[in-house]
Order: sequence, then C-alpha cells, then structure tokens
Amino acid sequence: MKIPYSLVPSSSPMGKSIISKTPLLKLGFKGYFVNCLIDTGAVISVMHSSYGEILGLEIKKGEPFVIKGIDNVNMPSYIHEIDFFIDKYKFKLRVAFSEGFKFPFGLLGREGFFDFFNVDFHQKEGFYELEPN
Amino acid sequence: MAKIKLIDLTNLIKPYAKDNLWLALNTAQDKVIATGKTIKEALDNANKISSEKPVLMQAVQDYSTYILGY
Repeated sequence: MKIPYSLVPSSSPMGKSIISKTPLLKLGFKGYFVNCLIDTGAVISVMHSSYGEILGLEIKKGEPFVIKGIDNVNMPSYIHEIDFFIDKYKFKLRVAFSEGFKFPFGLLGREGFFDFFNVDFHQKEGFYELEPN
Repeated sequence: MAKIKLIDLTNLIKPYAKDNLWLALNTAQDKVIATGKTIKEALDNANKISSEKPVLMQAVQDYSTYILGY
C-alpha cells in the first residue's frame, strides 16, 4: 500500500521557514487514530501516556522501560501490548507509554511495526510503501 | 506512474501552532474537527460534535526539532 508523505512546517539549519515532507502514518486504535512518525532509528514505539489512559490502560502496571533519547536523557515509560490497525491489517504492538514524552506525534519504532511490514521509502516521489510480511 | 498527492497539514496546523494545541482531524486529514489543550480534551471535543474517528496530533510552529531535520 502506498502512503503519501505529510507536509509540515519546519525550518532549515539557517533558520529559514520551510515545509518538510515527513513520513507520518495514521495508526488506528480503538476510538481514534494517532499520527505517528515512522522512525527507523527508534527501537520501540513510544507514545504519550494519555493515549494509553484513553484506552483504559493502567500505565504504571506495564513493563518498566527507560527510554534513552539522543540527548542522553533517561525517560521512564511502561510498555503495554495493544491492538492497532492499518487499513485492513490488525496487529498487536508493544508501545512504551511515557508521561514525559513531549512529542507532537506518536513514534513508530522498529520492534513490531518493522516485523509486520517491509517499508520502502520513496522520499523524492513523496510516498512510502508498506508491504505486509 | 501517477504522481501521489501529499497530505498537506501546514494550513490546518497554522492557526493552532502558537498555542501548541492538540488537534483532532477528520480521517481524510483535510479538516480540523476539534482542538484541545490536552490529547484527551481534543478527543472528547471531537466526539461531542462528530461520529468520525479522529486523527490526533499536536500543532507546533516548527517540527524540525522532532523530525531531526528540515
């Protein structure tokens, strides 16, 4: 399945306002979708704990997990396995929920998601393809 | 090969970016259904006025910090 990149406001290294092509994926949960950034550099998927609370999860009963960011700051989180869907495909995904995750999107990491799908990026053409494994 | 149409979120985000509001977009992502200061508030506000399952994200003025680039 081909999915177009999304355009979001950004800035160049010199501070000039630009528009960035970004690989976002509308990930479906019970009752809502979350726009998630596909991040091949992240081991696991991460979301703000509010998303889990809306699903009825008791966040702190999950598996404790410390997220280490690129700035080397440790962020506590709790992993839960939750149902999600993309188009007609339904899977279980391990997500680290964190109160401290200040991020405008969800983050789709490699574990789980990249086991379910092969992802082929076509940056220049402005889309990526998901192929179920 | 037909050119694929990008999902342009820039104009949807702009009015709400200064306040970093959470957005509930329609499924096609071409309309803002509702907003909120929190994820839950945006979702609750969307559910009050629409039966459509919303797409949630936060509006910010510059995403370069989050997408690690430009």
